[in-house]
Parts: sequence; structure tokens; C-alpha cells
Amino acid sequence: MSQFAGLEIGKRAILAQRLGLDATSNNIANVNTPGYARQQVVFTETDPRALIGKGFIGTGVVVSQIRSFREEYFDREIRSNISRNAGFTLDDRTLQRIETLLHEPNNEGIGNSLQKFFNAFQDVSLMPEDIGRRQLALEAAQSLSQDFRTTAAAMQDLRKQTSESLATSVGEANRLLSDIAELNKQITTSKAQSLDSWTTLVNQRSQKLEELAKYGGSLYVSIDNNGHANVSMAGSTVVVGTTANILKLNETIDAGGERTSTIDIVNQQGATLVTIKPDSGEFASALKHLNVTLDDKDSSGGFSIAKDLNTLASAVINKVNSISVTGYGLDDAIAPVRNIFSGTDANSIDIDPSVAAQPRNIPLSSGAGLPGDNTISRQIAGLAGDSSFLSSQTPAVYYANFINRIATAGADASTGIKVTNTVGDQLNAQRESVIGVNLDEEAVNLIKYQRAFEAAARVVNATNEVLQTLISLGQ
Amino acid sequence: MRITTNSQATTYQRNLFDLQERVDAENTRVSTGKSYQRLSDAPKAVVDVQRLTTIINTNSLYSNSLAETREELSNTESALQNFADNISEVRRMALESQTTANSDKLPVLGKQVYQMLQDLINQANANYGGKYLFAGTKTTDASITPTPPAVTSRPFELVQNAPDSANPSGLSVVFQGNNQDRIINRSLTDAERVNVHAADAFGGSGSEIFSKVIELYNTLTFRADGATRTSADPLTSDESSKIQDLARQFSDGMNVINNEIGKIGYRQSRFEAIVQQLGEENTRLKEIRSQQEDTNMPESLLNLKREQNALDYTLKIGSQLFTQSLFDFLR
Repeated sequence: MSQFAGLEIGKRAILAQRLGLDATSNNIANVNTPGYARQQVVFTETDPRALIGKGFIGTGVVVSQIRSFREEYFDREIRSNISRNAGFTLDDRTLQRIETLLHEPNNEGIGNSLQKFFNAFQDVSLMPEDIGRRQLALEAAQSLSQDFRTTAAAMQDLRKQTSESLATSVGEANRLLSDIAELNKQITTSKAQSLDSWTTLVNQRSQKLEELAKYGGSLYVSIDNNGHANVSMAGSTVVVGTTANILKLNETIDAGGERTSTIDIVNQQGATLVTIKPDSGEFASALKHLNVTLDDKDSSGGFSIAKDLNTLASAVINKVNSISVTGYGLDDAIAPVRNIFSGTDANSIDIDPSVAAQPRNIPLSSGAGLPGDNTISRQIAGLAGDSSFLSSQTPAVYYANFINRIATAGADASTGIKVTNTVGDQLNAQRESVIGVNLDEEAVNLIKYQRAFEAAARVVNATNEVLQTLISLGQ
Repeated sequence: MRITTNSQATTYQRNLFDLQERVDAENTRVSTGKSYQRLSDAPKAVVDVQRLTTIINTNSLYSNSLAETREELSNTESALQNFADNISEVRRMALESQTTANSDKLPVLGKQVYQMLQDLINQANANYGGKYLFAGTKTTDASITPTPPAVTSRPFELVQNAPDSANPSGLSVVFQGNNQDRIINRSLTDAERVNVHAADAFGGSGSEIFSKVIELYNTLTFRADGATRTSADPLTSDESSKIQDLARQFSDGMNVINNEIGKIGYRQSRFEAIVQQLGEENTRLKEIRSQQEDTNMPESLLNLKREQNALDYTLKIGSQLFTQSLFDFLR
């Protein structure tokens, strides 16, 4: 038996324990790195040497594997939860902004203006000949129409901002798809070269997939034989091997003015290959708000706040004008057929030019030369209690139900955020318990590998001394 | 379960954020006095408060309308009362002219009746807040175009026509208003007339009682042949019985006016009862609304204290949680 065998065993042990120290150091270094999966060296005894007639003797140790604790089950569940959470968060943010636009729940918005409008006409009905009260009624009408216009414009501004934000998100998703494809490429080449860099790249790709889940909703990830992650978003393939598809935000407007935004997969020339229909995540939420919530021409039948606002404005215009056209102003000798409001919806509602700044012209009486006749003003004031005003409801009840739907949608989003946060915490805790780093555990590993390293060094030292002794025998 | 450094931190952080959120929420409740800040905080409460606010505002509106209408009715009542008093005075003059002691004072009584006629016309032209009370829906001067011989745009005007045997003074009172209803909404569903028609109060188409006063004036001022009466011209028996008949008609007229005053009083009482009822309803509704939207201060302050204590302890635990690991004991 060679005296150098001991040196070889010592060398192998030193190298193996050194790798253990490296893995531990890396774990400690990445204790706070998001998505990092702890690494562990797996030692394997090298093949023993046979001693004829005596049995086998060991030849030391090697590191056969650097194990990474990735769990695809948790990764998939966490991605799905991230997606739902992102959708709810965007819903909540959008609805919160709509609440602000509507000045609710401070009761200073359109509901309040509407009530003030009807109140002003009740007030003027007590003294329809009084110019001051007519002026107040006119101002109430002006205030109501201005509130409608301001809210409708702010709603369209919010839609524009949502669209711009979605375009940025689509750009970010494209960057992530490209990064994932690039990581797929690097993973193929690194696997052959280094186990260590392979696990690092897989960790990075996993992190990118989680970032992508925030935008795209349900992601289906399959790992092929080359280690490539092929990614589908809402059923449409977005990454195949080392190739990433390009996403693009498109908007079309039909003849009726209804706008439809879509996220399409396009080829290099920009031509649409397929339209994806995300079921959760920021894309799904933003598309819902662009195409339904904030589209005043929406025909989907979903809850469109902008459309409902338009419907209310149109009802106010039509109902009030249908009464006012039969009335007379203070100086009218013949029926003037005069509207109080002009426009057709929340965007265009305004005071009719025939009464603007001319309170004497407001048609409040049912006949010529009857300034004390308040028939028209009473009828307009009475609209406040008209249970067939809109959708078989009074204006106040319609508005309260409108607000209720926004409140309920907001509460659903808030609850969704809370639930997905809790689920996310649980999933992360479970995943963390498998892949996470425990500093105390690493400290023990550090001592363990350090001691083993020191012992292996002593083995080399002892073997060296034995060799020295043997060499000195021959001198 | 394997506990890692990160899971400890994440759990701790989440608990800390939750506590900070709860402290902030209670703080906001206490500082704003409102139990919710966003629609989504309490959808049902928000809608309930919206509906209650609408009802409260509507009640306040109609309560104010009725209070204002009561003032108008009160003015109408005063004007009619003054009118009735003056008719009573005219009737007294008519009866005075019947006594022999006054047989030489008939022209003087005639002049007094004329002045009384002018007062009656002024009272019939009473207005409240710029609108005539007894002109129907022709409540302003602008709405009245005088037809000659009338020259003013007031609802009641004393005009001079050509004298004839039936009307030797040629005086008459024209009514230029109308007898249409002025109605107010006293709730979202009910309406009620608030004006007194000239026809109902003054008879005929609105000026009959004035004709009777003019008839008295003519009888006291002119003889049967149309000549102006002097103090030496006593009443004939026909004239005397005519005046007696007029006095009876004035009495009837007063009854009619008093009847209208009674109606107004009844209407005022009813309006007052409605105003009181609306006020009581609003007090109850405001209490219900307050329970829904206002912060329950004792409860919120207690919650705030509890959450602050929990936050203090959590922070203390946090300071111990991350200070020590095995590395602290390695040399």
C-alpha cells in the first residue's frame, strides 16, 4: 500500500469540506435574497480499495452533488397567489381613485348635487316669480351639470392613465419574457459546466416567473429535457425554449364608440398572432377597467361605472327637459319649448343657452303671464320622488345603489387582498421552511465543515510526518 | 416545521404591518369621528347612510317649505282679518246711516265709506315677498296688463266709469288677477293649494263685495234722481231698506271671509303638525345615521389603546428576536 494514499484521502477531504464551507458561506450571503433556495453539498464516499484477503479500505470523500431545495409545487401556488393578489391590488387602487372622483363617502359628489338641484326647484316653486330663487335654481342646475362633466372627464383621464400604466406593464412583461428565454439559454450551457451556477440560474428564473405572474395571470410552466422553462400565459405560449414572444397592447374603437383594449402576441413585424385573455393579475384587472368599468360606451353588460354615470346624466337631461318644454318663462307670451339642459350624457351635459344667465327664462309655469304658477317647478322638484325615474328607482335610490356597487366591488378587492396576503404568507412560510436559510443551522454547518477541514489538514500533516520519518530512515 | 431566518422576519414584519394598520385605522376613526373612511370599509353602512341622508335632507327641505308657507298663510290671514274688520266697519256705517240722529250726516258717512273702500282695495292688494296674495297666479305687476279704464297693474283697482242712473258715481273695482290655484309640494308625493281665491273671499268673480261697498257709497252720496246728496236729504224708505239689505250682505261677506280665515288656520295647524312630525322623524333618523357613520368613541379609544399596547410589545419582541444567533456565541 502506498504511503501517498493518506495524502490523497486528506486532499479529497480538504476539498470536500472546503466546498461545504463555500455552500454555507453562499447560504449565509443569500439569507435575504428573494427566491433564493439554500444549497447543500452532498458528500459521497469514494470507491474503496480492496486489500487482498483482508477486505476493503476507504479512499476518502467527494462532493457528488450541490443540492438546491426548489419545490415546483410551492413555486406554482405562489405564482398563482401573486397573480390574484396583483389583480385585487389594482382593482382596489382603481376603485379607490373612483371613490375620490365621486367625492364619496363624503357625500359631496353628484348625489349631493342632484339633491340640491331638486331642492332648488322645490324652493323656487314656493316663489316662482322671485328672480333670486330662480337664480339659485339655475346655479344648482349649473353645479349639477358641472359635477357630471368634471367626474366624467376625470373618469376618462383615469382610463387614459390606466391604459398608459398597462402599456408600461406590458413592456415590463416583455422584458421578463426575454430574461426568462435568456436564462433558459444560460441554464443549458451552465448545466454541463457547473452545478453551482445552474442552481443559481434556476433560482433567478424562478424569481422572474414570479415577477411575470404579477402581470399575466395563470402561468403554466413546463420544464423540458433541456431544462428550459416553457411558459404559457392564459393558455397562450409566451416562452418556448430560448425564444420569447412579444406582447403588445392594442385598442380598437367600434362604430358605436366602444373601446376595446386587448393584449396580443405579435410577431416581429407587429402583426397579431393571438389575443391572450388573462384571468387574473394586473393585465386582467387593467383590461376589465379599460373595457368595462371606465368605458362609457361599454356593451358587455358588466358593471361600468362610466356608463352608469352617463345613464344617470341622460335620465336627468331627458326627464327634466320633457317637463320644461311645456313651461313658460316669466316673459313668454307663447310657448317657448325651452330645455333646461343641453347635451346628451355626462360628458356633454350643460345649461341650455336659452336659460343660461337668464333666470327669467327658466320655464316654471304652465301658462303665459302666470308668474305665480309653479306647476313646472313642482313637477321638476317632484322628480326626486319619481320611482320610475331610472330603472324603476328614484334618482336618490339609483345613486345609492350605484355607490353600493362601487363599495361592494371595493370591499371584494380589499377582502381579496387580505385573503391572498394570508395565503401568500402561508405559502411563503411553507416554501421558506424548505428552501430558506436558517442562520443558526448555517453556523452549525460552518463549525462542522471547519472542524472537518482542520481534521483533514491534520491527516495531511500526520501523513507528512510519517513520510518524513520514512525518508529519514534512509539517510 | 423548519424555521428559517427569513420566515421569522416575514412573519414578524407582517404582524407588525397589520398592527400598524390597525393602530392607524383606530387613530383615523378617533380623529375624524367617522367609523369608515372609504366606501369599501362598510358598503352596507355607506348605502344606509346615503339613504338616510337623502330622507333627512328631503324632510328638512319640506319642513322649511312648510315653515315658509306658514308665514305666507299667516300674512294672508292677517290681510283677510283686516279686510273683515273693515267690512265690519262699513257695515257699522251702513247701520249708523239708518238712525235718525245721523240723517243729516249721510254725505259725511259717504266720504268715510269711500275711504274705507280705498283701504279695502289696498288690503285686497296685499302682498308677501313681492307677490300678490289674492291674485291667483298673476302675482306680479308685470303679469298684469291694465285694460282701460284701469291704469295700474295692481290686481284690484278702483276705476272711474261714466256715471249712469244705476251707478251715479261711475265707480267700480276691477279684478285683474285670476282665480287659479297656487299649489306647493308638501312632500315628495303630496301637494296642496295655499292661496285664497279672490272669488272665494270677496264673492262673484273676485270683486263683488267691492260693488256692494260702492253701492252703499252711491246710496249715501247720491239721491235717487242722481243728484248729489246734501245734509238736508234724508234717506227714502227704499234707500233705507236697500242699505239694510247691504248691511246684511256685508254680514254674509264677513262670514265668508271668516270661513276662509278658518280654513287658513286649519291649514297652518296641519302644516305645523307636519313640520313637527318631520323634525321628530329627522331627530330619530339622525340618531340612526350617527350609529352607522360616527365613531363609537369609547370603543375606538379602547381599541386604540389595545392595539398600541400590542404594537409596543411586538416592537420589544422584535428587538430581541433579531439580536441573537449562534454567531453571537462563536469566537
